[in-house]
Amino acid sequence: MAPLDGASAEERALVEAAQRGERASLELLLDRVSRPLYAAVILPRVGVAADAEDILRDTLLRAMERLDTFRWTPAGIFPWLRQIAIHLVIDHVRRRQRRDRLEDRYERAAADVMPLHHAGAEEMLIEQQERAVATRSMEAALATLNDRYRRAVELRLLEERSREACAEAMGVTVGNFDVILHRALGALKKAYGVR
Amino acid sequence: MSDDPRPAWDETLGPAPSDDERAEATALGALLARPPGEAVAEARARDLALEGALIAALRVRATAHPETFRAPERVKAIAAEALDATYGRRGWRRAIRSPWAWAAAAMLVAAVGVGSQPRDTPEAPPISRQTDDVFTRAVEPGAASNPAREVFDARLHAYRDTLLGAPR
Repeated sequence: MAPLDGASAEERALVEAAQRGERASLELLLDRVSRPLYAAVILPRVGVAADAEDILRDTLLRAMERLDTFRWTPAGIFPWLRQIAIHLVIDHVRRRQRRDRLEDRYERAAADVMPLHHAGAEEMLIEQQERAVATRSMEAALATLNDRYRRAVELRLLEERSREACAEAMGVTVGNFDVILHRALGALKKAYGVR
Repeated sequence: MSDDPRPAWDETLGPAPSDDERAEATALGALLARPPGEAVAEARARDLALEGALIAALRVRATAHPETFRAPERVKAIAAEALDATYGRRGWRRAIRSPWAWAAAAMLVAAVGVGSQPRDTPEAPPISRQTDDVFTRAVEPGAASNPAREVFDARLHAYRDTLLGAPR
């Protein structure tokens, strides 16, 4: 833990300077957290790059507005930012899918958010850990599908094969593969939470 | 050989799709082959269920193939925009963070207040038995002739005139 202590102290100093209103410190802090927030926390939960950008912007604005209320913990500032981002993702999903009655699932998932990192953790490490969370969530959702649906998703989206190649691999016509994938994604949408 | 253009459906795959389902499945298949931004815009314009299925697919892609979406320059630009917006809105408040700075600002405001001359208070119109005949006037039917109300109204007007200046 020794190397982390120095990094942790550095992050704490940066946060405190940002709380005092030092723009350069705040800029450095945002520079560190923005990419993991976008690429590993927000985007895997909303899927659409433009929406993810909007949510990232709102997350940063809200965080800066409430920076005074942040109280230092050994986990550093990232879990606090992550929590803000997840809540904004939930708001976004509610707005878009009001008719799908998925709110309960998202509410439960929001409560599962736990700090994963120590203060001062490297940006890449944070991103890796967050990506592992997103991957586990995806795998859990895929595991709820029947074998045929899961295979269709794996071929088309994980292996990124063409529709024709997917259809051939599954021994069906392209039109029927489209139907299978469509049903698989409908089931996946229901199984996917925001974790 | 059948004239039906639809591909044969194997019942072991599940219930046979309706024409609508087939059309939506074909549309989704085509959207997945297009750039994500365009695909989402088209799906949103068409149908909520189609959009939901497309977003589920994009979430899988964003999780499994993050390199496609990372866009570090765009993320940096968003962070810079957010920073500018924050400082533009409340930089002045951030600039005086210490209690001493706030105390100095409060003293400055107080000094400006003391230095300015107060306006003359307009003279209040007198209210008395001599000038108000409401105590001697006969009571007539109707709420407006109630003496107590008239006294109240007279005092209210006097107070307002004192505060705001009598109407000229």
